[in-house]
Amino acid sequence: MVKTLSGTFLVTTLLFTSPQTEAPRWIIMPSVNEDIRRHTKQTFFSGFHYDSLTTSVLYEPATRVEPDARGKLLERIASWKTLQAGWDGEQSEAPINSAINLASLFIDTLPRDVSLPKAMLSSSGEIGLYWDTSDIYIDLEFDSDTTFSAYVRNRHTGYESFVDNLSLSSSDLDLIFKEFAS
Amino acid sequence: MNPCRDFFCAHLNDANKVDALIQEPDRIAWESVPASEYSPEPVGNDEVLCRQLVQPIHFQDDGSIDPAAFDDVMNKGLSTDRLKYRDLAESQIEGIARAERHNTEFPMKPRRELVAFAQFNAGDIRDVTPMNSNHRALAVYDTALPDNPAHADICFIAEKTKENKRSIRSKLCDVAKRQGLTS
Repeated sequence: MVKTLSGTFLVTTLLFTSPQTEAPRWIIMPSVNEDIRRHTKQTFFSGFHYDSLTTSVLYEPATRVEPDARGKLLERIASWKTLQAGWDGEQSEAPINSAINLASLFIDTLPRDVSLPKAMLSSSGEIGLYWDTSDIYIDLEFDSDTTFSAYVRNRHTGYESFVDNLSLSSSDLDLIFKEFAS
Repeated sequence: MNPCRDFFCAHLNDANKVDALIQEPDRIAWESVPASEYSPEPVGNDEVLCRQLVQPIHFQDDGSIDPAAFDDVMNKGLSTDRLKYRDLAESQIEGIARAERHNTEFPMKPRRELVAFAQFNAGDIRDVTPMNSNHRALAVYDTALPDNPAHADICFIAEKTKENKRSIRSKLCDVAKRQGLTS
């Protein structure tokens, strides 16, 4: 489950933002559990090197999260349930309902101080959530009711990573959110 | 004899043309020969291609376009117009007419509407690489049509893995952002 830990860790740390009620400010990196730091260096995101990320990527002006932004995002994704095959050209497939549910659950699970992603719908019916900043591009894709995958590109180094079969239910996820909520 | 032209003629209406193209060992060399009998010439690196964006779902509230807007590159090829041979005004007229035809023909399907044009520099497209690789990921072919000699296809030519799809669609979106949207 180290892969899950690392993948989610990156998403949550890179996009850590200011509290919703405050004006935008620079991201402040919270303290990091040594276990997480060790796992992160060893596995999926080994090419990113955690320490360089903290200095070159994390200090990014945060996007202000409006109070109803999360609700709007969830509504937008839920509205896709009505789309049928052919919504984006003859060969496009209907959105995968179970993937909509998992993506919605992921958004619900995101700590309030993590900036919200944008949502996208692929022509093959998968639900995508992505963050696109001047430093990094992160793209999660949900294609079932249980797992999702993550693709990450560091815009400074060009280094890319991908991990599949991430899970919301892992204890790693709980550990990470707990870590960054504190 | 032009195997490139033969290929694109045989796969003219193939919704999975890209799967067949990936199997062709000369797919990169084919960029430099005419892919259609109606083609004025192969697409040069300095040319600008424009893509009609007709699905509002692919737009975000801030006006940006999402990377999934260009998923056609992975199956049937992403249809574009070469601005060298068809200007934006002509593309706009054709795009509006095409969307209206769709809406009339398929009233139960989500409405299409010409929202904007994405533009790509052909050389930038050819510079896109798969994930952590120096190989080519996308190719541009002069797939001219009888009623549109400016037509060109952008096609995925790398190994079709999940990670490559994600990598390449994000980079193609970056190429479009570099040129900007025209609405």
